[in-house]
Amino acid sequence: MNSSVKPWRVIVKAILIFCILNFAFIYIYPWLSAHQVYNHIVPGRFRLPFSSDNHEMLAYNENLSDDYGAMFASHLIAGTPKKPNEYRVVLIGDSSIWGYNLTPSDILSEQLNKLSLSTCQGQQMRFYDLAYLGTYIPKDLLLLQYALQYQPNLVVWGVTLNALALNDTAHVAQMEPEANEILRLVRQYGLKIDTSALHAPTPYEETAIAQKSKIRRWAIFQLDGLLWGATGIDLDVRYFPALKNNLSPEITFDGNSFLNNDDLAFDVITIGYRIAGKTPILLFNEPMFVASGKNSSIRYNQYYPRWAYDQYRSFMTASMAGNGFSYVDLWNVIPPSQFGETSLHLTSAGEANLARHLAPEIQQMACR
Amino acid sequence: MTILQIAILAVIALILDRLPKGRQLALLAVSIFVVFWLQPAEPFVSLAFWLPVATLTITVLAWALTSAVEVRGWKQNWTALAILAGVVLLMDLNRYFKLTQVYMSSTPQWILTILVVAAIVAAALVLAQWRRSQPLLQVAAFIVIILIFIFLKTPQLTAFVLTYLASVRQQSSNTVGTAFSWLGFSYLAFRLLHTIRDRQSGRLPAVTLAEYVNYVIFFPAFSAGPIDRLERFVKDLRSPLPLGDEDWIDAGTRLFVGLFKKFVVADLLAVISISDVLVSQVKGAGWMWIFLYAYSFRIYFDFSGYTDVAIGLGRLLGFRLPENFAAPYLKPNLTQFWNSWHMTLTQWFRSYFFNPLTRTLRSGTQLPIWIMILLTQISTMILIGMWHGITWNFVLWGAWHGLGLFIHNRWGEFIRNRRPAWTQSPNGQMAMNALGTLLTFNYVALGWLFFTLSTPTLAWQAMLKLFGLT
Repeated sequence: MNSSVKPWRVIVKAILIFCILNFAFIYIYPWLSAHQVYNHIVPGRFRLPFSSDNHEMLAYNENLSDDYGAMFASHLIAGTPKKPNEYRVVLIGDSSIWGYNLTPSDILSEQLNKLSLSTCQGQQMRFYDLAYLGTYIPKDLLLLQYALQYQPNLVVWGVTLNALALNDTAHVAQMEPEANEILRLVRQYGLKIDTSALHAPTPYEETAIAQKSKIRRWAIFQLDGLLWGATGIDLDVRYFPALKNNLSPEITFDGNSFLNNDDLAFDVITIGYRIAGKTPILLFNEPMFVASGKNSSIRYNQYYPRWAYDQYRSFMTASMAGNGFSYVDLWNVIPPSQFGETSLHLTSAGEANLARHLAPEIQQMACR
Repeated sequence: MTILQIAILAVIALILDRLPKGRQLALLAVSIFVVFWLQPAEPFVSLAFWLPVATLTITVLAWALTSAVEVRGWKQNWTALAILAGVVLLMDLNRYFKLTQVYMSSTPQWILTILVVAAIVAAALVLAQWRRSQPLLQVAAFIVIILIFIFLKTPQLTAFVLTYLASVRQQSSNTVGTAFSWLGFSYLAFRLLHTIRDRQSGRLPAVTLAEYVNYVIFFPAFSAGPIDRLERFVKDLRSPLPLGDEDWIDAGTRLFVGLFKKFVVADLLAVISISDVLVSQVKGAGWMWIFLYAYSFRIYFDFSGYTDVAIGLGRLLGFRLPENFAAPYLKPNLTQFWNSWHMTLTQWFRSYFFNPLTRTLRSGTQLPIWIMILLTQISTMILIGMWHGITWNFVLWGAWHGLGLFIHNRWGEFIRNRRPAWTQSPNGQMAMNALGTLLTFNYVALGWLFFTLSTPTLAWQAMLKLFGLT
């Protein structure tokens, strides 16, 4: 080694280079998040990546919910050019559409693909699952915005009461990792939500040192890609006992004993239609488990008292009809035996059943 | 060790290196503290206190048994004994300080601690003052250390004892696990056995208690090696290498490279390393090879990263610790691989098992040479395997390598006078080296299946899958 090397010089240079790289990361990361092993070295994923801190959910996946760009770049749709004869349908919504506790081949989009549907003009329908977990409907607007980049012919959007009703500050705070995106929607479309719990990241918060968790997750997610490619597994599917038919006597919904039309975020749906522009949207009310045991006369299931859900359905039908939106209410089309571990999550058979119920509605939309 | 712990230790090392006086005793105090600090949580809380105490006890007793008469004096050693007792008691006092980020605060009853510390000091004094030679005690100590080692490395034994202790304490056996996490015992045992054997053969230098304990629990190398030799270590301890600008950068680079290897490369490779679950899930042999290679590099970067950190920290303290790795995966044969993988461990086994066994077989038996080679290679490698754990997996891993070394030895003999002319040319030599490296790396990688998968059956299934046979 050269004897003229001075430690302090090395340290100063190292600090300088570190500072430059740290701030350069703000510009490097978007490129990085768009360039992944998915769709290049390994196939894209059938659904957006999800992982929770809950150990049982850790399976060759990583939580990138603070980076929708990276999530979409890993999806099959990002690496699948639209064919001339393809009628592209994207599904958005919550965990029920995403396919919680289902293998990739059992999710709703794949059940629809298995039906080999085509339009009246003979175009082959191809379905993509772009849903994501979380019952907070502004998140669906983000999904929709990203989904539109992939030139869908139709958007199928599943909603339920929780998504439209639970928009208090606590639920808004869940969107903190996506604060930038949500605030952009608020600015762009005048979305009426309380954003006091959200804050846009400062330039420092976007540097490498502040985003080290994101870098780590991104890197692990790329390696997860190899495991995904090798196993086709993106979720640790577990066995859950059958849902209980006996319910609690709780009569309120989210602490309330009545529901107003204004309590439901219909404005978000309207904004969704504005975002979609000329791309048609088929909205559907997600199926749910209808219990028949104790207290089932006052509640449908663990989530919903009967009065709240009935009111929601009536408001929903009126609002959709009033706006001229295509809407189909599938709340009770799935038998109780086809529900998974919650009142909104379906089994593989349930998803297949739902696909059969949705198929004619989708074909009708496609043939208009 | 975490990055934060390593950073703290690096700062401590820098401070220690600059102490004008009392450096050796300060290093002793820090090393004792680190034994407690890095001790993982135990199924029974108090073990996290008693296992480090046991480490120190065994070390002190081993010194008393192996030290030369001229260095056993009270005047030479009272400060070291006082520091030992002082740090142990200070750690025990955390019940009052409640510095839970540093160490547990639920330490055992103080009366018990004081009694144990007093007993250790008394035992050390009695042994140290015993002027007669202690060959029988040395043999006994050697056996006791090996017995403890066997106990700790045998999952069935530890599980049995933990279950029994759980039942005595009316605790659920599900909460106590199946193994003790006695920090650094594997390395501790090797250092102690080395000093006992060298004492028996008269090669051990005369060292004070402070020097001996510093050698055994030297904090940079305590938990993951390298396994230094006492006579080499003491030279650096007595006259530390000066830390000039170049050395400073050298040490910093080594630390940085080590951290990068361990916490970036190895930890990322861990995500895609072959595992029990993957063996059943992976579709296709190609992916299996990728995940096997990932494990092979992961274990290298993990271990060599820790070694780099140890060497870097040692350098900051003025020590030149021995190297443990020398590009092992680039070696053209298995013999060279084992001369460059965990070198201090293999040197230890060569000195204290392989060479003595070879000498014994040569002088005491009429066995054909190839049988002697087979016996010595296989038994040495099986022992190295069992150093990692006394399970069939490690036995098979050792046997795999022993067999590989034997085959390489025999092949070398066979080919010596039969080499085609083209292999003697530079290009031919290069091609043979490349082929040898490829074969050696893959042989070693396949061996890792026994090492990392939980059962031999699973390792066999993985092997079949790798070759597309299932």
